Amino acid sequence: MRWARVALAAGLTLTATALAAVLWHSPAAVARTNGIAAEDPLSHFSDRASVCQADEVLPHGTLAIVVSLSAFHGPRLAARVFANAHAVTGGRAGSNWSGRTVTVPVRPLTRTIDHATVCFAFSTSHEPVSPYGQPAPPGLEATGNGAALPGRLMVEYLRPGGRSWLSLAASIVDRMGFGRAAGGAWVALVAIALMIAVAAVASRALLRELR
Amino acid sequence: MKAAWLCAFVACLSAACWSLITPAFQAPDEQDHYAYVALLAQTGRPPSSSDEVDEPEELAALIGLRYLQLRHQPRNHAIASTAEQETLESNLASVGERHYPGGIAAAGVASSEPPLYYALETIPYRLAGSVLGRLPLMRLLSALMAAVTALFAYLFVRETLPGVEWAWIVGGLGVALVPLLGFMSGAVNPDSMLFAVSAVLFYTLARAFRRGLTTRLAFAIGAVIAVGMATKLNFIGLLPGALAGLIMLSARATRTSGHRLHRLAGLACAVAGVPAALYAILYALSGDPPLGSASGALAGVHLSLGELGYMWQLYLPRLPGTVNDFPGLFTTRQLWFDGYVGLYGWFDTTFPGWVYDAALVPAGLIAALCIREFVAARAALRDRLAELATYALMAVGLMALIGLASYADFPTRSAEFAETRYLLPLLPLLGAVLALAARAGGERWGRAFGALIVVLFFAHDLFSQLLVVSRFYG
Repeated sequence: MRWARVALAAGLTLTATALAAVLWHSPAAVARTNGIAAEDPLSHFSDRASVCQADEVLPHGTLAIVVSLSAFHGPRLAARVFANAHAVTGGRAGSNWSGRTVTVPVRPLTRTIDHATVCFAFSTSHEPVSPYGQPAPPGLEATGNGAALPGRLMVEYLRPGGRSWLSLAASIVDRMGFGRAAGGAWVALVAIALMIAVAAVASRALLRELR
Repeated sequence: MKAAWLCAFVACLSAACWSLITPAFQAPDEQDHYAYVALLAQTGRPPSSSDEVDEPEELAALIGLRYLQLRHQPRNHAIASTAEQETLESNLASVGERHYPGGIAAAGVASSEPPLYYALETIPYRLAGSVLGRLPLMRLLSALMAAVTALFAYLFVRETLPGVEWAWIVGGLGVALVPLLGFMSGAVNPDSMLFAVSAVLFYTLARAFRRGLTTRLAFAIGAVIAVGMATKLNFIGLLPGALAGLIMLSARATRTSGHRLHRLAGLACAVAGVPAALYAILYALSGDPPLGSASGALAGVHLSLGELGYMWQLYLPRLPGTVNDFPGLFTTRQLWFDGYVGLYGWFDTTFPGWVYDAALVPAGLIAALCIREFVAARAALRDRLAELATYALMAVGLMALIGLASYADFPTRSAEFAETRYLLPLLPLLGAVLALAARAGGERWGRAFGALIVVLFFAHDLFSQLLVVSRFYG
């Protein structure tokens, strides 16, 4: 029983420490967006593909690129950024992403890159992958396997945010109150109370039964 | 027995918390399930069309909540300003009491499901006056079903592993704290009731295997199957195993008592068949196929080698000589394990990639401990092969059903129904695995292992909820 108590205490302490670490961590924030909305499918790719888009500006500190590609079980994805025909950064996202955007972590940029070309390469054998974006004038479109697509993709660039989750807590509590019949800070407070109750009841049950 | 209720309480609290933090209609298919309930409450009839939802009040809410902008687009957050809230409320006020237009009865993907869960949800539906008031109450009913799931998962562990009493709580609390159980049971979705009914079925079968099949137990198993059949079509996947278990139980009872007890299996089957028969009669009287729109889906089933190969690969690495249906995808890991670790909202809310890699460590340790205990107890297992075969057949049946359904859309979508939530009817087996893993530590370390396993599940639940909060409100 003594070791069960020790294990429970150690486990809960470790959980609380991890929680504190998360709360002190700053989430990535959008440093720049190219202003394109992910509205229309620009094409469908069911094989190996490389989708590129020129005239992008990557801000200093970029550590991830969000691109509007859509799939249900998305394939592995490689991103590369070129400036003056030289690769300046790149990264990979694993397969099985789902939805209309995918985030690719890249090597952090130490300076702002103007007139960059961002390329996303993937290989899908069955399920189609669709880039989403908006129509663009001739010459400004993205390309798919070298051919012009009917528009440009939505691309966002993320860098470390300046505020920790803890400092954002008050605004998160406020936001949780919207979209409900009876909104307010009570939603977040009740949620916190419920999880504290879960921890308390589960711990009590464990200590009682593991005697 | 008090421990079982504590497990139930923990599951209910966790699911209630999930119901608070998940924005309205940002759980899988919740808009369709809500529409089914609304239709049933307003017209007394189930849906007759799988078209998109068209109830004016729900549509107004979906627009006001920016449902389509949030779904599958994790960069967008839930509404977060007084102006957006006022727009939402004014949309709803403008719809007023206008509900289902005459003759239209659409509930999207929910329309093919049987009506029992939806009929129960009409009770909280009627308690509030608007969609934003009804949805939380309906979600709380689902949360109560999570309590039933955990309660019977605990009782299942108690029946199947009676030797070490302290290990039962590890299985029960582990199930209660599974984040995916909380997430799905914190939403309006018949999965919540399916998990609960499946847990009851596992328990009744385990009780029959341990204590013998009695008339009362046969009736209970039949009744549970009947309820399951009226809850969600996925329950069909558990039937082959449950029926095989009944036959083996009946045969064993005949052998041991010397009497012909096959009537017990017959009784269970007769009770189980009542709702299916009623369902078929009602559909036949209204001129529809015997199982409504589900008939079409079942009619499309035709087993081929390609289909069998696909179903195998959906769960396990490809066998030599078969076509690779999932190139570049390790399905066991990426579809099922990663889906269990964290895939919330509309499958658009995920942890950073390293979390899934790190999760392999505790999962591997738990699996290794469980196998160790399993091997150590192999002598005792020989007497329980029929019981083990029953549970294995139930699991295989469910997995085959998911595979068949996914293959219908292949290759347009590589694995349409490869969602870990569809495996949660097997949660009682997870409870047994956790209890076995704790027992592997023996008298000296077992309890400490058990405590660590429960804390691990609690931490997983907690951080999953924080992930959802950060995605929608961050």
